[in-house]
Amino acid sequence: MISLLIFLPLLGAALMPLFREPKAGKWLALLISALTTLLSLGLWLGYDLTQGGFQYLQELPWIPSLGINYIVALDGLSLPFVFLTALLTLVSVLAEWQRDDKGFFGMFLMMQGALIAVFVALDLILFFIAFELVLMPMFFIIGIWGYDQRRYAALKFLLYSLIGSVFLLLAILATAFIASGGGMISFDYRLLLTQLPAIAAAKGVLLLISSGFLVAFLIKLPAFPVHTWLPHAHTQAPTAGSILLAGVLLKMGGYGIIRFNLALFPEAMLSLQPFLATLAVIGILYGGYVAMGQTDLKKLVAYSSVNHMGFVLLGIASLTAFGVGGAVYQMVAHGIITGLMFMLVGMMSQRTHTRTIAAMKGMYSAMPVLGGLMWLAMLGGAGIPGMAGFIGEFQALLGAFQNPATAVFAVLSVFGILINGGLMLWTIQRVLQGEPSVQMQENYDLYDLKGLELAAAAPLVALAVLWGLWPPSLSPYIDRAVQPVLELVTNVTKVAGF
Amino acid sequence: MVFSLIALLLLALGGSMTLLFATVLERNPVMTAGGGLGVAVLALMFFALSYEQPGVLLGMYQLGGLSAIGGMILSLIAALTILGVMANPHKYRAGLSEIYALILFTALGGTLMIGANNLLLLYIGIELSSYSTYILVGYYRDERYSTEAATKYFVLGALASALLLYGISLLFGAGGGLYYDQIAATLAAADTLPALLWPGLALLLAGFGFKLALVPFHAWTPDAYQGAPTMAAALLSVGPKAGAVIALGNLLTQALGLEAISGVWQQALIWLAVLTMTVGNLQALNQRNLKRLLGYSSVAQLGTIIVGLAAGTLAGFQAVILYALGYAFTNIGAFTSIAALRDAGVGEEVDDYAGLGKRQPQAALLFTLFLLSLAGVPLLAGFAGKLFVFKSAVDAGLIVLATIAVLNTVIAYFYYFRVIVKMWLQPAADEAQPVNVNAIAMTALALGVIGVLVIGTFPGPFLEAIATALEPLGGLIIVGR
Amino acid sequence: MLTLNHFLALGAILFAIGLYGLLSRRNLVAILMSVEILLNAILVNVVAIARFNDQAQGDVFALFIIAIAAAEVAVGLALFLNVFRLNGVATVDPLRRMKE
Repeated sequence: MISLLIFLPLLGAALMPLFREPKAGKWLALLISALTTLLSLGLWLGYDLTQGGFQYLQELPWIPSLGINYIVALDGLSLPFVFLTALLTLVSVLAEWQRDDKGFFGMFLMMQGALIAVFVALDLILFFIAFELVLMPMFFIIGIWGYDQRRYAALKFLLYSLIGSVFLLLAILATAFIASGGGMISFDYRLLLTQLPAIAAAKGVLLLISSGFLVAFLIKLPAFPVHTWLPHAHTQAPTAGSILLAGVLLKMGGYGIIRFNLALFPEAMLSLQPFLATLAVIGILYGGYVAMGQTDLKKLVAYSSVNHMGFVLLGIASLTAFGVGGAVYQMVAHGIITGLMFMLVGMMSQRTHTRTIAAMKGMYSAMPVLGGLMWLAMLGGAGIPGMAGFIGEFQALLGAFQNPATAVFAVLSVFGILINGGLMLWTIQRVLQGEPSVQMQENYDLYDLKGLELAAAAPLVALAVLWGLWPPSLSPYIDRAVQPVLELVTNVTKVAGF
Repeated sequence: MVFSLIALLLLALGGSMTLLFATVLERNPVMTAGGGLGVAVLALMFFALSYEQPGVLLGMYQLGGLSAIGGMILSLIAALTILGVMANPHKYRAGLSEIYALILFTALGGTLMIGANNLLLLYIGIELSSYSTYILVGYYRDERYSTEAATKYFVLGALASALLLYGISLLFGAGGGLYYDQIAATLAAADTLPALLWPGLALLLAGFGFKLALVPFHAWTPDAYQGAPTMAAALLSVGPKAGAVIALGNLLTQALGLEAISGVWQQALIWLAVLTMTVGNLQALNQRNLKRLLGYSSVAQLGTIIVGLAAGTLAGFQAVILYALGYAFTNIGAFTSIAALRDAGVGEEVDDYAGLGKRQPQAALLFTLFLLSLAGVPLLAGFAGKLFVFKSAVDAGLIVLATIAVLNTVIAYFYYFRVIVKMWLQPAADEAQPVNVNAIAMTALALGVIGVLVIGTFPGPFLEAIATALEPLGGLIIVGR
Repeated sequence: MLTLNHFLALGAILFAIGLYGLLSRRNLVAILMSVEILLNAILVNVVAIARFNDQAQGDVFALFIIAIAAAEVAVGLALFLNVFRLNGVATVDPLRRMKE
């Protein structure tokens, strides 16, 4: 079943060049992304929460002589992301419905397959392959279909990611080698989990190896010093590219840290805790602060992502069940809300032919539905209660407070919430309120959302509110998956008060 | 025994007959090309049949197993190259039929050196493939570039042969014989290793270094690639190199596998690999001629292959052979793309490729896949080769070497992606006229891409076949740290 | 008393002369002669080793080297003739067009 989620989109991408009719591309993409969304929803509903652990397991030998196999399964950690990937692809296809370019949609399907493979892979080499494979379609989406500076942005995105992958590959090879203890090498994640003592015994290189994983994931997240690719990639990517980039691609980072760093190298995580928490706080404050100064609406949203991802890192760095759970919740919420925001910004700039904040005024009065949704998305981004973003941010922060080691950082990042909240309100005031300029009204047709665009926005709005008001529909799955990972950490730390 | 003999004779006689009846064959170029392709494919099949029939020919040539795999790779290279030549025969006007003979001889030379267990046969194999490629590089005899490239290649190649032969003669003195096992036995029995061994080993490595274009012995590469007919460059970049690298692995592990010696050549190979990868990649960065760029890229790729040999393990050697196989498909494919596009009127400078994605999407897509494979993107052959080479290096404890190798792949991305960016992300310089690529070229490219995808996605069966073939060497290989 | 080392030394000296000639001469024919000297240096080595170690395979090896050297010179001469035909001179000087 899971394999279907991976290979259906890939098959669709492979079939794409065979169609003569350019319009056929989007219909195929729509069909496949709708199917995978339904399928992933079905898998989610069918997941047995009481049993927990990895379900829908599928194992096939691939290169058995080198210990590389095709192993995929879902657990509470991967479920939301798999669903998010499928849903956001569907939304992206709808949001770009005016395009008749089959190459564009082929790239999206390829990326969807690779992204789902990232979240379900239980073999480290398979994970790496998927992790790398995501880059290629994104590179072309930004590079071919992006805005003016697309080449620079695409190359920057590619190179940052590649440097991360390089260390990731080395770290994966080294981990499997150490865990094998001279015996048969295997890249099976479940097997590696049973070899934790062997991995931990390699004291000298432990920190180095775990940093290899960490670098790749921090670049993806992105955390503070290595975030600079993000604003460019976001501003230059076409709308659908931004949606998937913010919605799912960044999540590979947080997912990876929890899945691999936390589970395989708990000791190293503990010693890196202050470092990570520092990066998180810098990201939170700096992201919010820089976002304030932006004149480009899309760039503003991109920088606010840096702020939001800081909370993810803070939650993880807290090493508490609350914090890590909150981090995952925040990732899912950010995927929904920021995805929505990017989509709306894209629709708005399509009508106004600009993304400059100063030029957009009174969008609400010109386009009530679009403006209203934007209002909602901005409030969600600010993290007001009742929206999904609040739960994640709050929980991550609470987790950080719980652990004395990160409490100071939590206090500092409260300022980040204030900055971000202020930023969003200020943006609402600048973009949505008032009346649109005369020139804007005369030159452009400011029509409101049409049926298809509304259909693209609807599921995101619904989920942002649903997961804001009723966390039990999401958090038990996350907690169920995060709990055993954190037990590994507690075994190491033995710090009281968790 | 029979099958290997048939395969070898096919290559040898096929080449000789083509030369003998050149004037007759010239009247029917299509049949000649088909014949050459047929010989290569038949040889490939007979080598495949001989895989499970080990034996020794005249005490000098190992049959079955590794040599069968080597023969298959070389015949495959010959077949792909001939396909590339067929795609634009009028480029290779004068003496069309000779080119097929020379391609077959190059393959034969490579096969001989891989299967050799005797220094003399090794030398003959190396020289056979070298002489064939000298002539191939100078094949456009009325073009100054081609002649210039061939002359440079010849002079440095002769120097390399001399160094290699000098090394072989000293090894002959130190090892008390020409047979690999004889040398290994003599060296193992000696109380102190003979002094002649060390200069012999050094000269041998230098000679192989020239043939494989390892830094600092790579000076001939860019000119030879740029000046040569494109398909000759394609053959040059994989044929003799795949043969020589496997032959080198064979020689080092079988004749010089003694731990006291393997430590030395491992160190030497590590340095050669580091230098070759780094210098090759850095020099490739600002090349404007595509063939020159691919020339430097092939220098860098060979450096990565050497990492596998430097690991000094069975797994490393296995990775080397798989890498060579994937590299054959990839690089010949890349050169065939350039040749086919040149035939269709697209220049050989990187700038000429601007907007190609719009002008000729199919060929551009296939060329992009070859470039991505060279860069090492997952699920393509280049990635599988690199992954296994790096893995063998890490498992042999050579973490620093693996790190340098992996960082080098990042540098390599720059120049491969420069071409890809040109093709897809930049508009065409002139009014975008569509480019027509002929059907044979498209078939050749599609076959190459299929090979790249199959090896990249399902390397398992290939790896197992190679591992089985390498098993007899197992006892002789020393796992060094 | 002549030992193997004397012959090896002779081989080394010849090889060095050939190497020097190959790298320093500009005339293509002289380069070809240098290649021959290189191969002859090796011949001295091989024959001497065969004689002193009582190895018959060495003699076979030497014969092969002579034959292969002839082939190498044939290929080289053909290429150099072509250089002469195209450029009017048989030196390395016209061979630096490609780098530009």
